Amino acid sequence: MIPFAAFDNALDDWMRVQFGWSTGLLLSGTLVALIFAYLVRFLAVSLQTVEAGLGKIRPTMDEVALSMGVGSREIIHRVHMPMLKGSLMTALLLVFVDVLKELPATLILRPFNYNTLAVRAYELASDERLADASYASLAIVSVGILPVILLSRSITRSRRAKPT
Amino acid sequence: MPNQLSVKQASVKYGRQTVVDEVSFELQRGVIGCLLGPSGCGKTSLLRAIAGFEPLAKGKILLHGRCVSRPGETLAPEKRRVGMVFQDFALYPHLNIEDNIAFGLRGQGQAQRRERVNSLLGLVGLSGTQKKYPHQLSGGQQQRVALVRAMAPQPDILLLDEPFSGLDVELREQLAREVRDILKREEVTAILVTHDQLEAFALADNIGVLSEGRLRQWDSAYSLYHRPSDRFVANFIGQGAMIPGVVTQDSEVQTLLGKIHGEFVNQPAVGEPVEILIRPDDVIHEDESNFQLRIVDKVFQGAEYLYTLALEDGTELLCLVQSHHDHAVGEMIGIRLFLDHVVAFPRLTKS
Repeated sequence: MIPFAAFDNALDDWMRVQFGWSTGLLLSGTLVALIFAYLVRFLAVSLQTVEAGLGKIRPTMDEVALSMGVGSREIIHRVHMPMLKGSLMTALLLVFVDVLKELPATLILRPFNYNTLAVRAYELASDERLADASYASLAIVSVGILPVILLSRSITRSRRAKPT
Repeated sequence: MPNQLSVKQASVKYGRQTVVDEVSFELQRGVIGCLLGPSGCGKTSLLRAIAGFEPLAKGKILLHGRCVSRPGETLAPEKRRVGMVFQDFALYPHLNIEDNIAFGLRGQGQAQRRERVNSLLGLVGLSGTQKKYPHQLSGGQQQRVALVRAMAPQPDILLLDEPFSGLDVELREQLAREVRDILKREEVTAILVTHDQLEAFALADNIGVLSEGRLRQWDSAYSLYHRPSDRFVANFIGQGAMIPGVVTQDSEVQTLLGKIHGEFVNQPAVGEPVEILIRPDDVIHEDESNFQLRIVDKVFQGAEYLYTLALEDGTELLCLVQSHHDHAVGEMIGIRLFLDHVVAFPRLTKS
């Protein structure tokens, strides 16, 4: 936050001196800071999934393709992308659900008048408006269940495909 | 007609370390070559240099008469028309067998491609697996798919990097023979890299023995075994023992086992102290022989026993005897030497 704030203040000062016009808090007062926070918080989650996918692409697969006269750009969309698709989608889903229900960082960093479902549920619940809070909460739960369904489905599929 | 492959004084360096040191050899069209050596001898680096994955520090490589590698100039692998088969097969798990094999086929109609795939699968006895996925096939079947995938674009040369190491031993030899038949039928020029000499013998026409980056000998399997050019090749290929002797005259050596006559592979000077290479099959068991040696160890190999015998001075000798002759360790047995070719190396001074 400190570098963000320092940059915002410096830019704002400079703009005011040069053009007599205030830019406001360009980074720390907007979604940029929040997205950066999400990035840091959830990088590990997605990285692990994508890394597992990358691990399946062995260097020999590239070399075989090259030796058959298939160039590196073609390898990306004929080998790498199809093989990574699954893990990229999984990572996307995991991060999406996590962001959806993330509360503390969102509470601190969100711009004014910017509410996520989690923030809304929290505010309504702390005002004891439990009935109103339930809509947001139920939405989170129902979306949060998505990856569980998808994961269990893909696990059963891979079990069926690989008889041991 | 130019050689299909010429490697001329090729050197490969990783940093300052030379892993392939001025290796030269040639392969004619339709010949299967083999680079054989212990791990770390540079055989894989040389293969990768031929494929275009490693640049040359010295020398050059010609494919079909065209210079593809020389220092500072390496033609990209995708422009070389080489086919590669790896130890891990490297089949694409997201593609079915048909698409795997057709991966490198281009500029052809769908029908033509399918026909080529079908005929290749027929060649390795895997017709009907077109729509299966790699994980549904056994190791040996995957290996065959990897082989025909590399052959599909009709490369100038096929490079096989330890292709059978991932398979169990029984399957290995059978598959090696099968692969040889296929390559010969299709007149494919190929190079195999392996550390397993039986695999090399089963598959290759010409074998190069490498050690510490240098090509020790480039020859047929028979010559490597019976006419090794140096001690390394003699020790690495097959089993055997070295017994000391002195050259008494041309084509005669005096040893503890009497005088040995025969055609010398490398002519040592008269009077020179030498060591003679004795293969287990050079030693013949003969009860009434003058030379009675004590059995130190024996190994049952089914049809034969491999006996280790001790000479008076402690030198050990290997002897292959039909397994009817079952002798106990410690017994004396009579032997006679029978050598066509005498391989003599200058004696090493023991320090």
